[in-house]
Amino acid sequence: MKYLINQVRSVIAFSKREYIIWTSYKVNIVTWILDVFINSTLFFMLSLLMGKNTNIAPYGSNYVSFVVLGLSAYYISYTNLGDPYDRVARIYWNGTMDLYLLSPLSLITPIIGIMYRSVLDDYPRVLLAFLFGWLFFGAHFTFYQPVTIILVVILLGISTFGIGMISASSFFLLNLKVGTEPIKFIFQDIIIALAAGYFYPISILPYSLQILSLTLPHTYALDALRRLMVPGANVTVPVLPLQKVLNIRPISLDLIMLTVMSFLFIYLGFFLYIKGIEKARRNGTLTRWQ
Amino acid sequence: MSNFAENIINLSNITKRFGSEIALNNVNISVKKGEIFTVLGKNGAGKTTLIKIICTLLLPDSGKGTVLGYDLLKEDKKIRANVSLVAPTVDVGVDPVLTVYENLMFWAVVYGLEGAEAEKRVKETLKILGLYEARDRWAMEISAGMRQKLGIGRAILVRHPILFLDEPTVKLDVESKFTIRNFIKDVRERFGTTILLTTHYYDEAEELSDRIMIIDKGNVLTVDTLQSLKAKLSSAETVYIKAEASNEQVKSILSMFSRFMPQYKNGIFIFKVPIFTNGMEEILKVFVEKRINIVEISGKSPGLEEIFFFVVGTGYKKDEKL
Repeated sequence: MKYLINQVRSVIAFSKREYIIWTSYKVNIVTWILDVFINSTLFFMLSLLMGKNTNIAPYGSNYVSFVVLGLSAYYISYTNLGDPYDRVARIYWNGTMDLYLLSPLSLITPIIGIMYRSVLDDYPRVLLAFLFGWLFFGAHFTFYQPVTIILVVILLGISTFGIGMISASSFFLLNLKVGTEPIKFIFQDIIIALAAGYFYPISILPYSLQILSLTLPHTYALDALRRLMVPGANVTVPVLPLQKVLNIRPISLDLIMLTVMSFLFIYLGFFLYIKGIEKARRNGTLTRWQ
Repeated sequence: MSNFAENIINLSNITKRFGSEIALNNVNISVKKGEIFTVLGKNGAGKTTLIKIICTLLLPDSGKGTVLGYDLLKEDKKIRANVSLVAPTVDVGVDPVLTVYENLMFWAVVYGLEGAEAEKRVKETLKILGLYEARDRWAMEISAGMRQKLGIGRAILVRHPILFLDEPTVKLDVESKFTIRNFIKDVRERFGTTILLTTHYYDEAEELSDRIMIIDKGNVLTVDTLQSLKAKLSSAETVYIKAEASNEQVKSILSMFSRFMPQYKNGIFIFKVPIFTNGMEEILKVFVEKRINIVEISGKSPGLEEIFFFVVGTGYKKDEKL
């Protein structure tokens, strides 16, 4: 128990440190706000253009609301999936990996702690996307079953972090210390970009891509969130191929799949990362210090 | 420090290879509690590999050992949680946009210190470091020497029984080196910390070490106190002979012993005579043959640098008869 408390206290210490660092660059904060605004506006403009002719049933009829949820999932995924590899790389290259390893911290704690910088940078974008969507572009939301909504968001966060840890494990396991990390690239830049359904319902995709989308937590999270939060959405009509096959309520199936994926990806991520550390301890590639 | 009670590090037949290259070859060492144990070697000799293995950041291919009584191979987490490291780069672990105080407070929490205890320990450490007055300055504003002290301060926050210092004064100016060396001695005196030091500076090793290990190409060539090494290897290297010689004799001597890099200044011949050769005997024989009147002979004992180059150059082993 004391061990666990120490890990939590350390994550808080990391958070404070990252906050101090993040706020010490005053100009960065201004450019960050502008960046969020411009990016969100661009996405909304595109969504308005495409939305006129897009049939998003059974996820209601407000395409902007539909896209706000897609954008939110994108921001969460971008941080949780994309960041672990970058953070492992950062602590390896700045030499602090050795120091964290020679401390009572678990192997994962420094990564979670340092990720707080990205949490600061990316998570508020979710709120701003909701705010801009609501203020300027006519988005509306219902908060039907708020506990389920929170659960879905948490499971999306955990499962994408699990994939992020699989990606981070390649740093040691495959000794990929520079250049493009292939796991992150394949998941984030190819499969998720194409099949996650950030900006369109996956029912418009070719059937093969719909099947591919079933391997992504995003698919189930977005299905559940849109059914629960887009006004007029239907909670019973099946959309995903798996929902059509199995006779389970779509949102229940989404939750089951998200839970399974969360456990699976987190377990795999931690397992592979620890294996990577062990491998690096054997071949001498664990630390930059030579 | 002369009475070291127990061995805190024991390594037996540790071997490590990277591909076909042998980094450590059957290394056996024991480090006693409370001593400053220095590892000397050229670049690539195996110094850092040895430290990495002792602090369990690297697994040996074969051999065994204990650190603080914990098994090197089976209880690596316990070892890692009880040792501190200062790596060669000055800024490692020091965040430039945090203040000196914030930097140490962060690490205090990481090392498991809590609330008031953490604050007390940080303030105490800052005072020991001589950084208390600079506690509210950003780390980016202080000198490299101060940042290095801060790095060592981080490592001693938790009073771990073993401190690894890998080239702690590298890239520092003379004044900062002096401060850090005094600080290292102070840490050992105050806390009884066992310090394993690697350095390229012979004067630093001479000043700080209780025992010195010389390593080359992964082989431990010798482990001994500086005094014992000097006693075993004592022979004048730089020889000064004040003599009454004619210009012709001077020219002849300088030309005959060119291999000893001879010089002649103000009536004094200066030779660089390698230790453990009969060079000195040879020179004196020629002086006698040429009937040159010797007024005075003096020599300079070899420093650690000369000992190091002799040991590495000859492949000397500890138990070999000199």
